[in-house]
Amino acid sequence: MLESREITMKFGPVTALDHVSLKLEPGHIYAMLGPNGSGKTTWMKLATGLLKPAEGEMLWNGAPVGVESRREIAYMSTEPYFYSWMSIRQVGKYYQDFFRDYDPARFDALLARMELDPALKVKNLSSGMMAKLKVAVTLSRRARVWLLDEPFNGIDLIARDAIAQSIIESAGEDRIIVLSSHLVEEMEAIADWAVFIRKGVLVESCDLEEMRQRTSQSMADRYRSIYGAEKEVI
Amino acid sequence: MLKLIGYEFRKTWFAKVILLCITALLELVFVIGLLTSDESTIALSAMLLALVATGGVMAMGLISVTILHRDMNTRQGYMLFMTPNSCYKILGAKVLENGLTILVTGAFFALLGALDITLLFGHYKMIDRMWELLTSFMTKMVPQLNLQGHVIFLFLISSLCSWVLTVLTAFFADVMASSVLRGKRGGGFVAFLIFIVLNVLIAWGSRQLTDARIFPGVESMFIWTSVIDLALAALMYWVTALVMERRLSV
Repeated sequence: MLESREITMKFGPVTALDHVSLKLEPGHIYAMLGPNGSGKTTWMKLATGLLKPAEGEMLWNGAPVGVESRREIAYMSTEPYFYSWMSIRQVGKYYQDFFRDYDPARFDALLARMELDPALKVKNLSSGMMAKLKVAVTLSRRARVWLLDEPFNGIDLIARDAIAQSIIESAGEDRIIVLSSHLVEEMEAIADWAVFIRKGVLVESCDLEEMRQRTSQSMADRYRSIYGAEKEVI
Repeated sequence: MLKLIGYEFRKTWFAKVILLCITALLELVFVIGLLTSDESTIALSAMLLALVATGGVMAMGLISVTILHRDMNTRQGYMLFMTPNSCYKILGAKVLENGLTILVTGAFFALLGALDITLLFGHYKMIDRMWELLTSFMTKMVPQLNLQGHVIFLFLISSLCSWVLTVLTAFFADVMASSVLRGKRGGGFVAFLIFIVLNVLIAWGSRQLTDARIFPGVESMFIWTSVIDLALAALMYWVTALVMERRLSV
């Protein structure tokens, strides 16, 4: 189980997350939702151990996240992060060198599905190709947890379908998948649990099916009812 | 660890190739000068080689500091810090790669210098005599001075160890700027001050430890200072990795 307990993160005077407590159980695909600056990316980076919290703690199976949890938690940042001198093949080799759960055959299959040439240099990739590479190499890990920050960003419809298919294939009883995206309708087709965050505060974490029955709203409508009021005030 | 070191080497590979190319070019000019007995070419290329040797060793250290800075302050750092490696291991790989690079670069230029001097002595017999006169004069002026090969070698090792310690001090200051002082007004300036103050303290402490002993010869003094520098470098590494592990957010 991936759990944040009263986690708080500050960037100078800005509080990105404010005492967020959240438990993510295996066997679910979570849609992490919220407008820009709500704290979704910060929460994911804390879960990976890239950020150190100001208060609270992030736990993986009861132990604080760190070196050991990084063996089982795969993170895909929304920004490109590969070394510019690498080729796509070398990116795969890098993951093979450091992650025991990396599956090179799956990487090759995902590259083929995404129509990416392994010989291409990272520095020559378009933003769409870079986005596809990030998804392909992250899903090539047989991780216990995948944290995918904006996996559909800058990707055409066909490739989005390929990514959605790959994500669904990766799901399992012992796996946790966390997605963040502004494409709420697309996420609704994949996720079975929704986490709503607003201005660094957890608003709601709920089973999607249960939420639909309780509120008679789709995830997109629920999103509008939670965040739409803010826009009206503005 | 070896894989981490390999990737660190790859990050500085381009700078190393450029340094090698410049050195090869200057060496070629030096040899052409010797073959054509063009003394001004020999003098100019020898001076430039000495400059490149000193600058090259220093540049290797400075480049590693800029790479650490980039790893801590750009998205590329995710590649490093999302791997299941502790900051001790990550920094250790950087220190080992850089320490080895500095030592190998230093040894390479020392050997090249020895080769060039030998070639020069072979070409101009009178230089041999001039060198003898110079060493004899300097030994009379400074009786403790010993210009034998092994002493020069120990002096070079001592200088390289001192540079490795300086680079590690820069690592520490940069880690402080990127972690504890990040987002604070004047953080970069404070980190620079930390670097300067630490260097002054290290120089003072090292001198106290050296002055307190009586050395049978200059060789043992160089060995002693090298040991002190390496011990301080190890301490600096540990403190830096500790700060990274506890406070660094990338």
